[in-house]
Amino acid sequence: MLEISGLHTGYGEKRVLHGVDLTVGEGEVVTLLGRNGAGKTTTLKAVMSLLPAMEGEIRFDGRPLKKVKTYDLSALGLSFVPENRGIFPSLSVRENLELTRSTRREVADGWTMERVFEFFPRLRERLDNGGSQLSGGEQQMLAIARGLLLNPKLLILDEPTEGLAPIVVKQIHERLMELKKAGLSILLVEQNFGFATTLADRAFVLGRGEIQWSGPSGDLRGESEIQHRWLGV
Amino acid sequence: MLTDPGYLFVQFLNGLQFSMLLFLLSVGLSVTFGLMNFVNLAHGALYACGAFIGYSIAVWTGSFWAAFLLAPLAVCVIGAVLYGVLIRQVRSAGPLTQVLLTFGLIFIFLDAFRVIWGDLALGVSAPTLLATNIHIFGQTYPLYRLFLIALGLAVYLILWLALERTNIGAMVRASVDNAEMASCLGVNVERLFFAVFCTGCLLAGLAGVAAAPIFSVYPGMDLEILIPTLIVVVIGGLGSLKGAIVGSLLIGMLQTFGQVLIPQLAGSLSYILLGATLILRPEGLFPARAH
Repeated sequence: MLEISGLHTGYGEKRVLHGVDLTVGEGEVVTLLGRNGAGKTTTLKAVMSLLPAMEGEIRFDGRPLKKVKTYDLSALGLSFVPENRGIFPSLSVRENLELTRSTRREVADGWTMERVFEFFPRLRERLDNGGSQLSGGEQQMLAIARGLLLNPKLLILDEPTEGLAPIVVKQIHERLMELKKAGLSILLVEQNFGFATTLADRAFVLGRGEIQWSGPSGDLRGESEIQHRWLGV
Repeated sequence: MLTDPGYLFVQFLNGLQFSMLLFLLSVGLSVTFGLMNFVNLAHGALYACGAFIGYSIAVWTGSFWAAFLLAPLAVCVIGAVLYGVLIRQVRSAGPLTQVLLTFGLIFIFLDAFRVIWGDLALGVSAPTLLATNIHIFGQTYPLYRLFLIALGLAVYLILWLALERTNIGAMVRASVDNAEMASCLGVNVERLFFAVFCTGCLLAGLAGVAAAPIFSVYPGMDLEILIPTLIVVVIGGLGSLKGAIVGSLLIGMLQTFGQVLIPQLAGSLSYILLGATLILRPEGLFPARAH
């Protein structure tokens, strides 16, 4: 579904990635792990066309994304929940969700507001609150809910557990597990090793702008050398 | 005279009328600035365009209302052409290039006005329907100025509804908050920016033609209004409708009452308020982008 091959990119003159190869298959959950500054977010930004690929290629459903604008990706089936959650503080919870009304991928039996509220009941209570009045956990739920309303084929999450209380992390884990069971493809960037490897089918370890290890996430739990060297676990 | 309530009320109306003019000008400037960090110093020149083109239409057709409707549309078209030919090229070039380009445009427009309409001040008369005085508190007041106040309030109401009650308005607010995130959700921020920019030009043109019967029309009229407009944008806070209306009311009233109550200081009052705002609330009173 998503194929990244030989990706080089960075900010201005400074290259952060030096040839990243990564794939996400249909219905698969893949995690991209690595230390701070390893280039995880940079990889996601390149996928979302927020950074140009200097070398290499990114394909989605076989289609090269080089010339596709960021705003056309949602209609192709890519949905991105960024690190800071990207909630619009000037918009109410309802408006944050309804924003996707005219831009989402139209599918039969897609996500509706009602389904979203069944999935995250807390959001229903907060519907008329401003985006900036939510707790961190509620913001994360809103960000994921908004991402789902685009009816994505692939949901991309950048550190969804960052700064959240353990109980909220557990809730998010359950919800993502449910999405996985429903067959949604997910690309998950995480610092939380346990969270990521229990959720993902396969893992990629990023270090110094290159993939240092890849394989089934179960195997990574046994690789203490890799964990110590590239993840600091 | 200063204790005469009728006289003070008339000054209040004058302040309100000037505020509404500033609002029509500052709102487009503020929202385009907030949306894309793009500052268009030629915004005042578009205001003058509205006045000059309005003058010509009024002369050709003999109808102020024809000018009132067509001049803003003409300015909107001029804005769209400017955007396509010049502004789009410097969108990502940084503030210095944008300021130099739009500053240069001021002088190009200034010379164009001189070549086409000459150096002399031109007069536009108010439409017959409104060219009358009404009596308030024993004072006479031109009805046309009241019309201008109503026009400003009506535009505020329409913009408020469009921004707060429609999906496109939510997209504009979302893009001001976080353009990158909005585009990830499928919002074409560049196209939205173009639409907002053209609306700003339309309103600048509207301000120009509406102001023509009150002030005369002459080359350089744009520079006179540009500075208070920029002060309004900075005081109100970038990108917000509320900021534009509150900033306009503050500056409009301050300038009007300043000239009446403390004429010696009147010229500096706006700058004092600007300085105080920059020290106490550098982001303005109601910045759209929450932090």
